Amino acid sequence: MSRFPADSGILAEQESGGLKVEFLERIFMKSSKLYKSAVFVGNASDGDFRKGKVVDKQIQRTGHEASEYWIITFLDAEFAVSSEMGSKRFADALRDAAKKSENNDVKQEIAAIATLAGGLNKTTGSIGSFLQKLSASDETSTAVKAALKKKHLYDERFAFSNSVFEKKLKYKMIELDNGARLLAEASEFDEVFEVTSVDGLDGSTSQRFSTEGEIVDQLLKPTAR
Amino acid sequence: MTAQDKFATLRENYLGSMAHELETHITELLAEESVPRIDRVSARAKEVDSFVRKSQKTNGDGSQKYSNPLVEIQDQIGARVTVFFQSDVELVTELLVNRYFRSIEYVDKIPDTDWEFGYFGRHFILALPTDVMPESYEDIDGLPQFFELQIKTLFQHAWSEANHDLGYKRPDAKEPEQMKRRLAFASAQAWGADRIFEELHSEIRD
Repeated sequence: MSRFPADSGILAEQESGGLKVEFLERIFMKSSKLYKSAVFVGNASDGDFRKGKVVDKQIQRTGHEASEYWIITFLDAEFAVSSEMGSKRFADALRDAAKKSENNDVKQEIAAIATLAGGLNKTTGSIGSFLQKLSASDETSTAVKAALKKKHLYDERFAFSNSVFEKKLKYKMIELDNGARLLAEASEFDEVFEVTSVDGLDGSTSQRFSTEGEIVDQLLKPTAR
Repeated sequence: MTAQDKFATLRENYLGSMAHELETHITELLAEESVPRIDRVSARAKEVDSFVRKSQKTNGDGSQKYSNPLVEIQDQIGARVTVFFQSDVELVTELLVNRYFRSIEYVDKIPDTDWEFGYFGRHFILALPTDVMPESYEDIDGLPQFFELQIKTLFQHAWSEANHDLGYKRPDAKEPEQMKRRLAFASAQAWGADRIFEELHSEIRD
């Protein structure tokens, strides 16, 4: 399907300097940027499950609301991979890749990706496209792909859910008033850092964090982030 | 190649391992979400003779029920989760059916009337997760796209398993009507036990 009965509408877009308003005829084909197309494949049988591919150029221009209406409401379709499943897979693959990799650059990059992934909330894509969006190196992308149970999961599309992702892969960071920043995976933080309360002479209470390990990397950074 | 022969080949080459992976996949999902009171997770590929029998079923007018059995028979792979209490059925349903998997069809299997007792269980047809599909699965002709998930309490499962075993011997039963009544009685007791345990569980939880 790529054509529909002609229908008119108004497209209003905010641009620098004002609001651009366009009256559209044959709305789905008027502009290549509003192009929508769907193809579904299956056996000619009532019992079959039809899988499809949908192209909706409005996803980039007006956000996901228009395509949610088009794909979910109009076509009564949804991504084959649920948001929860896709986001969980992504988090699991990052965590496993970080554990298995002996490359410190990859480990650090994955920690950065885990922190930055919050900006992907509700966007649609695949694990591969999300890694590309977050500027992952080839080494990191290869490590994450290898950590997946099956290679074909790398390119499957889903809607990213930050709430699910964070539950599966969360780095905990504590910043102290002396400038120290302590970072570890949330599930391991309490094992990595031992915390004791220290009573000050002035009656105040502070926390002492202790940890022990071999230095595998250290960086000088231009910013604290 | 007949549909039955094709199924036998697919079962040998793919379906057995897919069922095994599905069992692991569901077990891990439930464990990661710390879902309590799971008695057992199991999955299996349908036996060939069971597929053959089902594919040969006819409608009331004598016509073939399945014109394309490899597509239309949706429980070629089946999974079952047995839980302790009725409220746990809801928990597992919410997690697996509403969040992680894609639901195609849902049937709450209950007796036809409120006066009857028999099989109880919640059956879902879900899309097979690609996590358990073999590599290059899109190139494999005839691979099923669904699986059947049953979510039952221990009592529901116990009754259905015993009833299923007796089913093969039922044609030889001396008093089939009495047998039916006694099976219904056993089902009613299982139903009652489920209710009492759920009430006790709720009272203790509160």
